[in-house]
Amino acid sequence: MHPDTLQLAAYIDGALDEAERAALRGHVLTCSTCAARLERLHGDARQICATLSATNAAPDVRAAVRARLRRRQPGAWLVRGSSLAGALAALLLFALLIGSRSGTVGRVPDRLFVTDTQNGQLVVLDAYNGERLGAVDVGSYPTEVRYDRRLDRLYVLIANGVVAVDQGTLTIVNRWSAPAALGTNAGMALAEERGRLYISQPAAGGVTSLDAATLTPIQAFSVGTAPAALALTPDAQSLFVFDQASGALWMIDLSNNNRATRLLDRGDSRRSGWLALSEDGQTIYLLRGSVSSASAGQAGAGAQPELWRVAVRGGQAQGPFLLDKTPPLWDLLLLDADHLAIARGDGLRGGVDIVGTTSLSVTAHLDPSYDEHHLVAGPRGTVFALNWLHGTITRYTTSGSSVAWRVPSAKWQPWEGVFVAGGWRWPW
Amino acid sequence: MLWELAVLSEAGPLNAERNNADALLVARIRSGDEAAFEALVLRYQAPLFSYLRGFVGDVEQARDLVQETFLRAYKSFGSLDDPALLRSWLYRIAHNQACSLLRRRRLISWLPLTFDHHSNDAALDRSAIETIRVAEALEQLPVEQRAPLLLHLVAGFAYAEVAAMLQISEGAVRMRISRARAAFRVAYGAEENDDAS
Repeated sequence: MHPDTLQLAAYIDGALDEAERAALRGHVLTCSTCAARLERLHGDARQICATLSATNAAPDVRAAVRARLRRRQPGAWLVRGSSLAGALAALLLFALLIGSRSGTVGRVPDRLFVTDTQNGQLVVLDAYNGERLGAVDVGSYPTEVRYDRRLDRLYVLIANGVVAVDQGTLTIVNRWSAPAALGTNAGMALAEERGRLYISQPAAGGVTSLDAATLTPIQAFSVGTAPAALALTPDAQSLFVFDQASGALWMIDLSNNNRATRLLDRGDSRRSGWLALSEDGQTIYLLRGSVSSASAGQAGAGAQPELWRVAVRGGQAQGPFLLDKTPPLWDLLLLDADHLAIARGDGLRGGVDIVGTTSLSVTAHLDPSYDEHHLVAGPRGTVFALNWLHGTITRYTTSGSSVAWRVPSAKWQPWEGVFVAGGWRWPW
Repeated sequence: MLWELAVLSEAGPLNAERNNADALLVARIRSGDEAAFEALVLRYQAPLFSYLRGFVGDVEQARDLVQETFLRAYKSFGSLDDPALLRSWLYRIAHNQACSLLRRRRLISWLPLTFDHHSNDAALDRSAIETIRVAEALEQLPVEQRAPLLLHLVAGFAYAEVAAMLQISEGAVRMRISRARAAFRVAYGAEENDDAS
């Protein structure tokens, strides 16, 4: 009578009593079959260890942990700079004394630049209180806007091209006219260090790269049928494209002759999608909804929205993480390493869902009694929500789940925006 | 005799030298030495990842959990009573994080996907196939068996250490690991007729 596998395993782990152990040991010493089975159990253990201990998959999380600790406990990392504080204070005082008389120095507030689709303008607001600071006419139906720190300018996507706006003077410094209308839901991504601007053209079925400084076309390539939302990794090596015709996610390897890989193609009815990249550029989040649920706002219409998490390296995808159908989805935004935000609005209510990046489940609802459409990342712990239907912009404090301010106006349609941190203007 | 030696080698001896080094590391971290905390992350990120990868069965989630483990550890060093037990304390944090994740995951449906760039590959290499087979077999094990198995085999904790970590008896640990071994054999070696009866 041969022992079963559990008895052999219990022998290895010392889980048998003395008599059982002695009997089994005697059997195994004389039975080559059971000796081989016992060896297979040991082989399993070695295989598990070897597989899981393979170093090629082990991450180096030091930089990510350091960054997250800095965000959580900024004071602990500022101690090093204390020796410089005196010198900096003296320099600041000197600049204030000199510059305040000439008017060339002063605090520039944190600003929120918002596109106004109704009036064809780029509007600038004081991010602290929502006060309107200025506006510039940019052209028909401005939607997305990006800020280029390197050149200190903003790029605004309009119905038939892109305009570059100097953020200090609010003047147009450059313009690109597309050969044809870009189409609804065109997307824009900025590779600041490389000086490239990527524009998706759903109507033309392709993506065009522009030189950011001159807004001259460099290259055009086709991706899917109707490429819409774009997201670019911080190293500007991978461009993600959502194809609204098929609902598929594409990854373009910009370092390898724009080689395109289709990562997700569910072949179902979901035709609206939003992308958000993690801060370290290692993970991309895809929110997929259905056109009917986003545009018509019909309760229960369309398929259930779903969130996906895709590894940038390797392309492994996890999902779908299913979300409530209503109120309809409007936007997806990465708030920080731990949280995503999703805007919802049915014309009356919706608010902002906060979603954990680990669980991809909703952890909080901000202001569900008010509908919101597009989201803009603010200073840490804040998010701006834009409602084009009612013409409002709301600043939320995500940590306290509270409304800091809301500015209403019936005379405009705030669509998308970008937050630009303020600073000091110096006399040199 | 051969198998008895194997039993000992799997558990591994208590590494007093490592525990002393850990205690020194904790003392430096508590004194505000940032480099010491980085050294701790460097030392334990790979072994923690190995354990978590086997436990939750997902590389990306294991990566997130490793980060979370160190962040929690950083905030909780005050609760570490015996600095020489740093290693088991870190694993306990990691294990608790992973259990929370698995509890949440029960509410979510997970679908594996195939991708174009994979299907273009002529064939997965042998090690990749083995990795998938091991992961799939581990996934079949109940969580209460998988954890002690991996803490013992992969992390190298002795039965008594696993028992203390999971707050169950040493006998229960031995029995759960035995059951896990047997269940893994069934799942991993499914093509073999392992029972000789």
